Amino acid sequence: MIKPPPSRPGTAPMLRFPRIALFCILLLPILGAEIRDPMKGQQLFVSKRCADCHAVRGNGGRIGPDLGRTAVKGSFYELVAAMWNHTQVMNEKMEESRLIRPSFANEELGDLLAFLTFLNYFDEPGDPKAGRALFSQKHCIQCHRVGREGGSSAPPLDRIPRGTPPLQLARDLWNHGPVMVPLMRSKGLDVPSFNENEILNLFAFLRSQGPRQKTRDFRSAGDPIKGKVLFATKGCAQCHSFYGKGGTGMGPDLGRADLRGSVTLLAGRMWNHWRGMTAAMESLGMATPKFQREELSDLFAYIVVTRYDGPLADKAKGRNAYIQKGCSTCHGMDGRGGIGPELRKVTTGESRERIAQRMWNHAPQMGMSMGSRQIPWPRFEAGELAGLLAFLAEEWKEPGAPAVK
Amino acid sequence: MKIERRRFVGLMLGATSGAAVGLSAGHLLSKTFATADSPYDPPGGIEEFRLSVCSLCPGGCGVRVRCIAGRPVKVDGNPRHPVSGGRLCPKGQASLQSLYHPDRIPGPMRRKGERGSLASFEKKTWEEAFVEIGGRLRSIREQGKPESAVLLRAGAMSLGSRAGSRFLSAFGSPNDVRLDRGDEAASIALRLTQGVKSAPVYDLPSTDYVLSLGSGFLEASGSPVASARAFGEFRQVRTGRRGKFVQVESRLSLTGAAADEWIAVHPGTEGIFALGIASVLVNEDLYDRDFIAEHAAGFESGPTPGSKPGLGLRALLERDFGLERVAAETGVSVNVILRVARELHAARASLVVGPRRGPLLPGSLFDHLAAQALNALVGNIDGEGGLLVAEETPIPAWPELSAKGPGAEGRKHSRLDGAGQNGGKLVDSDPEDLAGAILSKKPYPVEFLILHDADPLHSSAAPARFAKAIEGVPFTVSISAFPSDSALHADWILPEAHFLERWDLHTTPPGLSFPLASVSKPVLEHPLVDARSSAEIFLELAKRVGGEVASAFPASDPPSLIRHDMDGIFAAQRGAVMGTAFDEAWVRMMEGAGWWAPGYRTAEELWKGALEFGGWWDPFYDHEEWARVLRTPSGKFEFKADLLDGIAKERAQKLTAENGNATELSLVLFEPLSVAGGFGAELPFLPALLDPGHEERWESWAEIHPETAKIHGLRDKGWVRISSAGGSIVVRVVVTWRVVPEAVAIPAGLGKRGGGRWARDMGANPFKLLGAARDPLSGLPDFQGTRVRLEKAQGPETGPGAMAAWHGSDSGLSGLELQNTRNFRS
Repeated sequence: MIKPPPSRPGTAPMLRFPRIALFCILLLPILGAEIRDPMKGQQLFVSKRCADCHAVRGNGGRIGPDLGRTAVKGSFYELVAAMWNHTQVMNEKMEESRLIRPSFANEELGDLLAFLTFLNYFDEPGDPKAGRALFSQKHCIQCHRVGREGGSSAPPLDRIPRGTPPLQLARDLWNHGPVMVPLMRSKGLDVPSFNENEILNLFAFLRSQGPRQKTRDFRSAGDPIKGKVLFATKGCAQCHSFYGKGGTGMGPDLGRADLRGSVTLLAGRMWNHWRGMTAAMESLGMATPKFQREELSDLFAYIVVTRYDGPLADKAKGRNAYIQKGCSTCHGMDGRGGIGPELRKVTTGESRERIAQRMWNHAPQMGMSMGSRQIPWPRFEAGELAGLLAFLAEEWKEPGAPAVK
Repeated sequence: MKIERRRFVGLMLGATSGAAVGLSAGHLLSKTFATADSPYDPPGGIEEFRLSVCSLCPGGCGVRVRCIAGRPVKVDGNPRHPVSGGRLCPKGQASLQSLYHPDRIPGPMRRKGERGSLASFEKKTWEEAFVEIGGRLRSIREQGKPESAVLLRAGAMSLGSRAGSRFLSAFGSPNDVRLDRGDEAASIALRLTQGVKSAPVYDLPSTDYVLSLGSGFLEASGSPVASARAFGEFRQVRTGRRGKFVQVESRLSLTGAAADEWIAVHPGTEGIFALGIASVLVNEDLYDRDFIAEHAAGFESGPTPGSKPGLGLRALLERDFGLERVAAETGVSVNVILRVARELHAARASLVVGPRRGPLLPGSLFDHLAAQALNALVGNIDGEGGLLVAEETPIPAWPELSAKGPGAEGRKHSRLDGAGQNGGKLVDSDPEDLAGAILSKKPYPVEFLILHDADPLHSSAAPARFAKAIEGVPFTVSISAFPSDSALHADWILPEAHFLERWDLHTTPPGLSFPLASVSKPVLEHPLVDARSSAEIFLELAKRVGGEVASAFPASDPPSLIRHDMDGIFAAQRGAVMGTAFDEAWVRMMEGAGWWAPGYRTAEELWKGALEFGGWWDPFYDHEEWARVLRTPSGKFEFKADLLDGIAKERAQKLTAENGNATELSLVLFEPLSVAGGFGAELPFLPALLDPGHEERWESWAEIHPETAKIHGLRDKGWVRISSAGGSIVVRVVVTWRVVPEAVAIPAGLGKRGGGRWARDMGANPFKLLGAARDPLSGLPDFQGTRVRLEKAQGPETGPGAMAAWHGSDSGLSGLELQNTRNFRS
């Protein structure tokens, strides 16, 4: 008789990690986004040998760009457009390296994209040495003590358990704002703001100072479903939009490229935004939100997922792209094929992931065919691709046919 | 035979590369064993690859076994396994020979006649064995003497090893004694200086400069394959930066042959050399002031937190380790000492490796403490490229033992070997004193001895004493796959299943930093002989004893036990299933940033993944975690200059006395990779790979410097009798410059009386030369301090030799072979 594994007090181990799985299981009807399984995507990243050419934050091959550090971030459409536009270069590089170009089956491309999306979510480890310097530069040392150095007017920061998740520190910093900001101003100190990786480095320093807990505390991704609720109840939805959808325009659009990055970097930008945001919320008669337990993590999970969903697809734009990029030349304006295969049978009613997967798998033959006719490789902007996928899914749909998968 | 240095180094490197790349074992195996109707010739059939874990040394390499028609025909490394990384050492490559060995113990064997000969044993059933052994154990317990049971064990950190320990503890005995103590001196040094009870981990891949004090890490480390891989990375594989490697020793080892520089020192002065380096670092202000100020105690004389005022390292170095004096004692020029010290300081990350020479040769505590002191001075404790402390695998505790009853009462007794803090010793195990206690019957007599994978009659520092001791034990059970020297003296031999025939779970081998759990299931559906895994044997014995012993295990069979442990690992919520280099980097990066995304959601998924890919591990290492790695009373690194001072004085007196005696030489022992840990001579590939620097195969030899050979009238390829206060052996002479004139070097691992047809009577056992001398501080046998005399001899004293056995001998094994063959065919 095998006994069940012991649980850690106060936690439900079996329930903590599967939050990521919620992305693929529960989000479809609730969020409208179709993000699949990032864990399977990670395995595909290795098994399809993407890691032979591409690194993720310095780990992996060096032939292709580092997918953890490039601008290949953001919505589904941006990711697919980047992959598509990159096809020919990639084919050449793979031929040079004698690698077999990967093709995808079932939901594999969706899983891989989910993994690439989640590279956005997770942080890189910061640099504690740089963080130590920031602790002084950002004036934390004036009030907080670490080791033998620092002030005593605020709680010491060398008792934070070693390895405390950075987002937990970000949450505490945010919640500490109403006390800390006025206090710093009263002392004539600049309220700290964080550029680039500064917040990661500062947290890496603080995470390395305290005593270790009996077991290490690692965190999984947050729960975007709870995050969606929080986005509304904490008042974020009042001001912020995604790709122009929602909000009042008072706060920045959260689909904006310059607001992307890992969740702790996002927390850093949110902190930098403290002054403006609290003032704006006050003007609307709202209280500055505070976050409990995993709320910040959940909120950011919602933001990442909603970003992945991307802007609304413009089918008209897709029709133009279908014509202007030369798709109609081979596949026919009615999608019945010609030089290229008949599209209407295989794309109609399909999900955007499936259509994108077909495009990807079809690319080598298409490249050869286009090359022999001296037709340039079509490149797409994210918006064009969004429209094109919507066009391909819906254009030739029979009246009364079921909605797009 | 004379070999030029260039050719020698070439041969060494060639051999190392050969080991890494792997031998064509399948081809050689078929050549070795093939006969007209050999049962070992694989038939045609479907090819499959199955995973397992090699258990021929404590390394625990993950292996991938090529099977045809279900029969293993080739063993290679599992590419996803973090220890082997797809590579394997010669021992692993030869492991099929241990599976198909004709002299494997065919089933439980009961002795019916004189000790020492397999002919005295008759085959029994497992039920008969368990009835008698279980009855005996029950009787001892019922008599209220559970403490009189002793477990002497060796080998890998396997499920069987843990089950054995658990069984003994639950039974009620504190006498769990380990025979292989290769890591003991290094562990004691770490305990004294850092307060941590574990073997040190050397971060070779990330360092730039390695100063090794006679360590044999490439040929006989806790995990030779992992060490060779780490060494490859150190030599530029990943970083493109080639680190420098300096080896300090009196006999050029295989490890030394791979170094950039060999510094030949007088025997036993490696630690003095290290303190000479330390002296330069301090005098020239080249030490890490920040580390010393914040994290070290005992650098300056005076009181340290938690201890009385004492001598500081600085004062000790100034007083006793001046350059001229160190140069005179070690035989190394002042300029070389100065240069090495400055190189050590200038490197971005530098590392000093202690003198562990092999699984049976731990090195002296003085040298290990000196290495520790140097590591602290250069500030590389727990830094990248420095000296790390391993994390334990988060295996859940097995059910708590009752604090009352015969078990608890038995455990309260003092250990027979006097080891551990209660016995006032620094060592955790002292098998030589155990032999003494058995003979003297003090503090209490031994009623029951279990030898698990341990062969003290060959591999202890007191083989003769053990031979006498074992005769005085009323009941001895040996769990062994082969008729080892000790097994032939037992009352029962219980054959252990081969690693390809059993379920197992290996945890992190000594010397690696990461927690790991390698899971293996049987590659073969049924064992080729009537064997069982040791875990199965201990579980069954526990059932036979019953009561609290039976309930001391969380499961009743090995797979369920492993599943229990893996479920606990899942609950720890860290790490991942073994994967590719990218997976490793991914987990490391994620955990470094505080995240966990392992690729499994449930304990069931982890279990399936572990079986599919080889196990679980956590590659993330949290550097400079001072509360974990500095657990001394002061919370700091403690130099222990007082201890160094005391030992240094004693050693200086001994060296002075030895230098005055020109007729005696220092005995330098080493363990060739192929027979390290006392196992390897059994498999015919391995005695042919004893040392790539010599022609000697299938026999022992003594390396003697040309000048020394001339003085003693010895010629290359002749024979020499080597005598000490402990005994004498006769071995082949190898005249070579790879040993200094004041020493004679002999390999350990041969000279068995048992072990099967190939091992039997091959070479000589140099442990017979060891006296009763002990390392003055650790209490370990003084493996490197024996003085010997040389005398020309006419020929070997041992029997017909291995080659005779190859062609058939009177060992009584032919019947065994027939039984095995029948079993295999059936």
